Amino acid sequence: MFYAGVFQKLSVVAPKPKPFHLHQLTETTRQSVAKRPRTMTTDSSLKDAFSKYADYLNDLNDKRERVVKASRDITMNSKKVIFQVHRIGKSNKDEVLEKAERDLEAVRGQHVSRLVKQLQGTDFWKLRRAYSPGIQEYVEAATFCKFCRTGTLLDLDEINAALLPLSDPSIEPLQINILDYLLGLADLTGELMRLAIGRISDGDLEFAMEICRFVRNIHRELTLLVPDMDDSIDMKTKMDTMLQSVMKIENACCSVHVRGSEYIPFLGSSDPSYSSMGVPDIDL
Amino acid sequence: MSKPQARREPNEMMNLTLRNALATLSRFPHSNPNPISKFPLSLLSPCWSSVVASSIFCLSSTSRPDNSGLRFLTRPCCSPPMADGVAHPTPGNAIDMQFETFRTQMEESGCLREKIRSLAMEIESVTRVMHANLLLVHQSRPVPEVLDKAKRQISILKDLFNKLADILRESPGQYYRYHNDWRSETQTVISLLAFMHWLETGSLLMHAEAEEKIGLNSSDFGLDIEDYLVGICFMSNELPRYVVNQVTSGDYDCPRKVLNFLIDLHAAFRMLNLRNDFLRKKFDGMKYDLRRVEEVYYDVKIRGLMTNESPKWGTMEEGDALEPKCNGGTVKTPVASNSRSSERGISTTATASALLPAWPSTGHSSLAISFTKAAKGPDTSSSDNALAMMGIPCWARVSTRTDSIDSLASGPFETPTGRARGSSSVSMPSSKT
Repeated sequence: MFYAGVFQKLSVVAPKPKPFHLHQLTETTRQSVAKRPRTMTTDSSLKDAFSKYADYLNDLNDKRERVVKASRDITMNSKKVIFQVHRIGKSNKDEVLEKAERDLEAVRGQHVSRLVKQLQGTDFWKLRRAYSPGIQEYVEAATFCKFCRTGTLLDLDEINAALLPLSDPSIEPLQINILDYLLGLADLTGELMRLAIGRISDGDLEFAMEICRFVRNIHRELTLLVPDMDDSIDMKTKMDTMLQSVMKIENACCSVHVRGSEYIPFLGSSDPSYSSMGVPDIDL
Repeated sequence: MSKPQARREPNEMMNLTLRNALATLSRFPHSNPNPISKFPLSLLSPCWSSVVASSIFCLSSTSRPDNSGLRFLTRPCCSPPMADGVAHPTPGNAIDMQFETFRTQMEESGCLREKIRSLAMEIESVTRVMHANLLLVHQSRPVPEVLDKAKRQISILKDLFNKLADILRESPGQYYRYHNDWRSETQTVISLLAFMHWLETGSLLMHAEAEEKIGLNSSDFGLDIEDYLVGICFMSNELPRYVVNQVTSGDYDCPRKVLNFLIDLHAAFRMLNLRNDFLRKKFDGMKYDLRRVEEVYYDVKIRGLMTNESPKWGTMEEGDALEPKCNGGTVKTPVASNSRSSERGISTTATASALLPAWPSTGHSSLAISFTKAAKGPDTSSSDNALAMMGIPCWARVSTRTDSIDSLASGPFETPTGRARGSSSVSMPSSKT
């Protein structure tokens, strides 16, 4: 049949394909080699470009990591300052505060300066998330010290003025931005609440009232600012906590006021009868 | 307890303003005891300037506030009249002052943010129009026409981005503060631009080119590299769909081109060290795109639909060498080998076609037919080979050819699946092995 004949023909031809094929292959190979450089240059330019992107990303991520590390140190040491301030008692106020201020100075000199060095005057906003917790804690510690010293709020300008000397004049200095400052303030109210309750137990009612007024004021001021803040979600939760703190202080002050006659202020904890007085059951 | 407070109020306030004044003074390197002339009254809000001025006079009369313990200064100072001690219970109006400044700042930044958001939404709507135009490419509209329509939107985009740059220029250094507000829109823009660039040129749009297209420049208001990279990843998500649709409409060269491109791109991305962030997730998605394109490519290839094959690692070049390959003696050889392999079954066919340059004679239906015919032996399959052997050039093997083949082989060939496949002139339906 036609087909069979063809098939026989095919089988005869069969062994040949390879050399032909190879020949064909090499021909086209030559052709493709001639054209290949075009594809190759695109490849290498792609590689070059991406190696640059790789370098950029590596540098950015390394910098970010270093900033995070510096920020963690700041957090840790600021917390130590705060704990130091909490140790205020009736008699040791000055020493405690002096030590706290010295420690704060050390935090500034060692750790914040390291942060400044890592940032090298750039990417303040880009890497803000990396160093924000540390800065917030620092703001908290600094404002805490200042309040215990003077009863006033440490301004953003003041706190930034103290940071100016840390930076090289040739680069842009690290200035705490308003958002971190406000977040730090929100944390401050929590610490003040603890302090107030502690001071009440110690008999220092005057101070507690002072704290109460102060914290109330901050809360009031911040309520106006929160909606306009960037990423205000964390601030909103802080505001809730802040209100709780304010209420705790107010309740404590109220009980003190109501039980005023039962309290003998400024007697000190050395008075045995005092220490067992109806200290309100306040959760700290 | 409240009584002493009322008395203390004015002094407290005075002391606070004093301290504020001192603080502001200390910022200036040349602060001297009588800095009246250099005192920057403009720093404070106008209502307080008078208070501060009066406090300066007090400065010379009072020594530096000595703040030991909690005792506030009770030294007499000229103090502004207080309306009533009760109405201002705040421990310091300095706090108020500071917060007043904060309020204005926050309002400004809120305003700025809103402007940016509205611009970003405009960018997004333009992008949507562009995207809708580009989608026509999936419906096999001719590429230049589609690109033309889409390109018209680029100038609008350029405009919008310039406006954005202008807005941000007013607050220097805060590019990244508001960056998240326009980030995703930028990424979409980049992905569309890159897709268009690829449709035009087959190559990847570079960062610098992308910046130029939307009218940005790195020094002023640049394109963030991570945004660019995410945009490229989004573009790669479009490719599998494009390939599928192209193949459906008969363009069998597309998979190879896309595969080559994606392999390159994926390899380039592998050079980056990524953190576990959004970019990393998108990059991980790219390999699924690559896989899908590979699958389409494989489907097309083993059915011999492609004119020439071998992706990146092959030796065959791009471009159609259809005619030359169809000439003379070369007609026979691949056919023969194919027919041989078809005897051995499907897998060999696949292997053969994988090894060989795509000889047009391996019809798109070769696989289907091989399935059905492998058992039936070589006789029936030789019919097609005969036709090929007759030297019918590949370019002549159009759909009409399919019909003739089918009519020839109607009996033994069960399935008309071959015919069901696309009938463009590129495919070689003629020889069914």
